[in-house]
Amino acid sequence: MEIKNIRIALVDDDSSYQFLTSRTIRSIGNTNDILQFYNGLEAIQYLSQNAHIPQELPDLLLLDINMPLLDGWMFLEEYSSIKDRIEKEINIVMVSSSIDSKDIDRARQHEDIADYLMKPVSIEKFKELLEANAA
Amino acid sequence: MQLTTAHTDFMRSILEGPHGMVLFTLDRDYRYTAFSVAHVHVMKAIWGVEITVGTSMLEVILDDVDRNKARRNFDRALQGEYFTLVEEYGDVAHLRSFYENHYGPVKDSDSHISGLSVLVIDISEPMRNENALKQSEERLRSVLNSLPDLIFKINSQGYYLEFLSNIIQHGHIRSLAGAHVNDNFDAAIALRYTEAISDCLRNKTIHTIDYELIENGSSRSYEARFVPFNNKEVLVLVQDITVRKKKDQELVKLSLIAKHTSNAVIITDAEGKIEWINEGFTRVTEYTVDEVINKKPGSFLQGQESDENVLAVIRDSIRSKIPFHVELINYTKSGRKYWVNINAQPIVNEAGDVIKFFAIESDVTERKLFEIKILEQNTKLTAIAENLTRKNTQLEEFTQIVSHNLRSPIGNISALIEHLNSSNDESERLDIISHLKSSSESLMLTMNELNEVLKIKYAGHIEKQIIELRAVFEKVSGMLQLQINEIGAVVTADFSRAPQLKYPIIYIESIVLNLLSNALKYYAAERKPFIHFESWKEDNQILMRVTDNGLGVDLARYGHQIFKLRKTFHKHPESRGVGLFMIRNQIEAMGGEINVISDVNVGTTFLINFGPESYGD
Repeated sequence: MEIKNIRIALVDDDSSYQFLTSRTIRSIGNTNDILQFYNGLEAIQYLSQNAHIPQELPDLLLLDINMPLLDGWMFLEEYSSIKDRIEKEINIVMVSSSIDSKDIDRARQHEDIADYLMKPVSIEKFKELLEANAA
Repeated sequence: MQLTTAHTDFMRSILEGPHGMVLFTLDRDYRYTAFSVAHVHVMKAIWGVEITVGTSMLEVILDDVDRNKARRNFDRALQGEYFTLVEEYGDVAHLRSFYENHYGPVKDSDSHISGLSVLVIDISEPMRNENALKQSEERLRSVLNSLPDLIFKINSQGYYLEFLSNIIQHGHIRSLAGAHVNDNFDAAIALRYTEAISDCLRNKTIHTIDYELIENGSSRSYEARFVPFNNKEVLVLVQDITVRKKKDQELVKLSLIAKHTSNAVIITDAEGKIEWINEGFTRVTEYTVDEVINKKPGSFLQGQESDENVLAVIRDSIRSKIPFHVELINYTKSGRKYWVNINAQPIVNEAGDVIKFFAIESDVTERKLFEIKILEQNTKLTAIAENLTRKNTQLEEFTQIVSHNLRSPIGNISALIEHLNSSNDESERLDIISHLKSSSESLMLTMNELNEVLKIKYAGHIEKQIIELRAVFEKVSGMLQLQINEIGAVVTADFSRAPQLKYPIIYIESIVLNLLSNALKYYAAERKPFIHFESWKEDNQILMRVTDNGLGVDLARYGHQIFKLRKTFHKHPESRGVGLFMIRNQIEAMGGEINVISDVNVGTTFLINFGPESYGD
């Protein structure tokens, strides 16, 4: 798959970060609509509602930890309970400014998290990420 | 021999007289031919029969055994034998009586045996006396045998006369009566014996000596008491006092120890009344023997601060006659308080009964005060440790906040600047600039919040005042009046149980403001909002409760986050999640705590304990 066709979901409460990330992703070459969610609740509701519509579902989901209503960890809890219904394999990457080793270890060990990236994420890193998902 | 008239008269007087002699004659068919008046009375008394001449005596005797016995005897007499028997008769209802019966044949003028005669002498009384005498002799003998005494009679010359009881053989008796003290004892003891004998006889008083004899390699002690028996004879009572002497020696030893120890020693009777005290007791308590004898130590040694529970243990132990080991506060005569360690033991006699209590008491005031101090220190240290742990947790939280809430906007700002440089699109540039602005505002906001938090944490000695809770409540309600009216909320308060609080005024205002504004913000639209404040006192601390019937919070889900910074649980435009974080810091900085109970769509209750020293007096 070409990177321009990968559907990406951004789950983060920081609007500046959302702006920066979507701009960066577009500059790399991905032109698809980027799904933007400002907290875990919005994200899980979308996934749940579109579980049986693969083309609406994202290929890659970038998940922040610190968000209101449903934070990153809570989102993952909800996700594991609806996972089986979702008719697409979603790659979840945790992206956070947390330098707490507790969070990093937890992410590394979590079965639903593919990777952990530390904010700010460089453009090179984004490129790598998208190319890995295109493959 | 011819029977003369004199004989007949004589006979008649015997038979008819009131002398009480029982006499009767029977023919060969055992029928009465003659009998004395006394016999009539006797037969009436024993067998309940009126005898007449011609009555068969055998038929009158109702007891089979007695009848057979009588018949045998009658037959013997009818054979011609004269004999005497001591017999027992009587029916079972009466006392059995003893009789000396003289049997003999009655011969007619031709010397033919025509019958028999019996003369009965009632010997019941003498028999009883004889038995009584035998019994008392036995009793006396058993008493004598049970005494561990050797009793013998000795004369003024030192010759043994008689042994009345001789339990102790060895050492004292080498030969029996007829022997002399010199034969039985060595010269020294023999001399003491003879001296005691002569003193005793001369002064007519009881003399006591004690001495030791070696028997089978071991030494035994004896006490001999010399009692004047008559002018020439002395009764000597010897007792083995080996055991008693040992006990006495031990007692002397113990009393020496007791006398010289600096500890107080008390001996009481089985109920706990003082019989003896040593000098140490007076030294410790200032009470003298006369002041305490026959009193129970508890009646004057204890006072106000003596622990009731310990006193109960003492009382119960004495009552149950068991040892006890306790520590408690006592008071000297002059009223000085001291800590005493009491170690008490019951003393039993040979039968196993408790006859006394023995107690050693030591003044342990110094050690006790030391112990109390250590305990106090320990409590203080524990409190400090808890405080430090809490502060540590807060510090960790703080660093987390700093790292996240600062790093995010800073990271954004630098990335935005990069994008600004690489962008040519004017509208995009404007976008980027607006994001820069909001990021830097966010940064500024965080800095201010952190500053506030730091101010609380490192406030040092913040001034506390006596606050009227009602006044704070009125002020805060006034500030939020618009909102209250808008949603039609009913806001009430009851501070009657704890109207005052010793606290920094800015904190309590912030707490009440935040809690009220929170309750107003998260009201449930479908019902009339009720918000109620309440305060009360518990163990010198003031507590406050704020209850509402609003949206509630899913504590199962969010419970651990409710007081953290920037955590919101509702899609509310004004949810910033700062207030609870702030007031929690304020409350904890003052040594208190805040907790929450909530049910989704039912309501929420915040419970605050303002901590120690919040109770203003």
